[in-house]
Amino acid sequence: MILKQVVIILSALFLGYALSLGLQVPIPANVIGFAILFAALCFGIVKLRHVDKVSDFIIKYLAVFFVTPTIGIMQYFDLIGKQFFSIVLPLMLSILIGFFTAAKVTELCIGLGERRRRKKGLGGSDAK
Amino acid sequence: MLNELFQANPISGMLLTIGCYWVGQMIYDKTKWTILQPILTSSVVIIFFLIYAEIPYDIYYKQNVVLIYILPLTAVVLAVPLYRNLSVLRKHMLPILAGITSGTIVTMMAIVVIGRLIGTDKNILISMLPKSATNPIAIEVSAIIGGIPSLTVSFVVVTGIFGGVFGPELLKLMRVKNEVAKGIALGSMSHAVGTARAFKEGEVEGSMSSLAMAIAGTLTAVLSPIIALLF
Repeated sequence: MILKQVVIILSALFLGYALSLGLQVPIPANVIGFAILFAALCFGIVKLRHVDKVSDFIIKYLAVFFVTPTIGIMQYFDLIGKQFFSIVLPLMLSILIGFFTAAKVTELCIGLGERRRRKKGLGGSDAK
Repeated sequence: MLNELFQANPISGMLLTIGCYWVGQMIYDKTKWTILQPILTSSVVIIFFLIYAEIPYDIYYKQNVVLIYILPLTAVVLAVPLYRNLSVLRKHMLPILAGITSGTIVTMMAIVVIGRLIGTDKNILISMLPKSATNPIAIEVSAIIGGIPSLTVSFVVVTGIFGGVFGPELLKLMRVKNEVAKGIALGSMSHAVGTARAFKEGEVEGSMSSLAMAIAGTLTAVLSPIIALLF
């Protein structure tokens, strides 16, 4: 059962690489693999119970896989030390500004949508 | 001595990685202190150990290739939580797309503007542009736009950890209350590390974050070459 799940997930990634190679688009293969598995779930080609156990396991320990690339920063301690502020300022400020924009725009649009829906609801009852 | 012992076993590095993470996770579970995210504590401990034992990063990396090979797979399985929360996505399609797109463009423009204002080296700034994309995407984008891919990896990781450790607290400070908006910000700014944290906040946050990470990554791949023309 677990093997079957692994095979399905690996196949989605494999198809991602195949498509990425064939289409010559600048979208990485793993993102295409993600889209393929998502589409397969939406169209019912793959059932949730065919992939959920392995997926949930990997997602639960997602951060473990990023420890090794994180350690790579030790190669750049010299560079970062020498140019500390000219690296840290644009990096940190852009993250803060990005966080603020993404969250606020989403929240604002959701609020607008709900207000419009509520108005529509009222308008409908008025017309009656 | 320590170095030789380390290299005698081809997967000592993996033992170190998973072992430190496990201990970090236990400490986090006991204390529940946000700052003690296992990825942060384990990374700090490992870096100190490698420096102390005089083990070069290349050797540590080679001993962790098993984990590295699974990295692309981590993006694929994010389809599962997204599918589970399809109804939330359908309900808020427009706000979600607006949030991710604006966040991605604004964060890249901020790098250009602030960097040029304080005179940061051009190659460093170009390497920084794809910082909010997930690593496998960012590496390729960096190479395409003339950055230094391995430096980009460091920026990506710092961005991820920063968002993963402080993101939810920052959002609270910014008075963001909506779960969807929180997930979108975490995923589009801090990719997989932010997403891992988002899942600890809740299922809606997590799945919105993984969706945002996929869309923001793709957007970054498309937009970076255009924004790099500004240099």
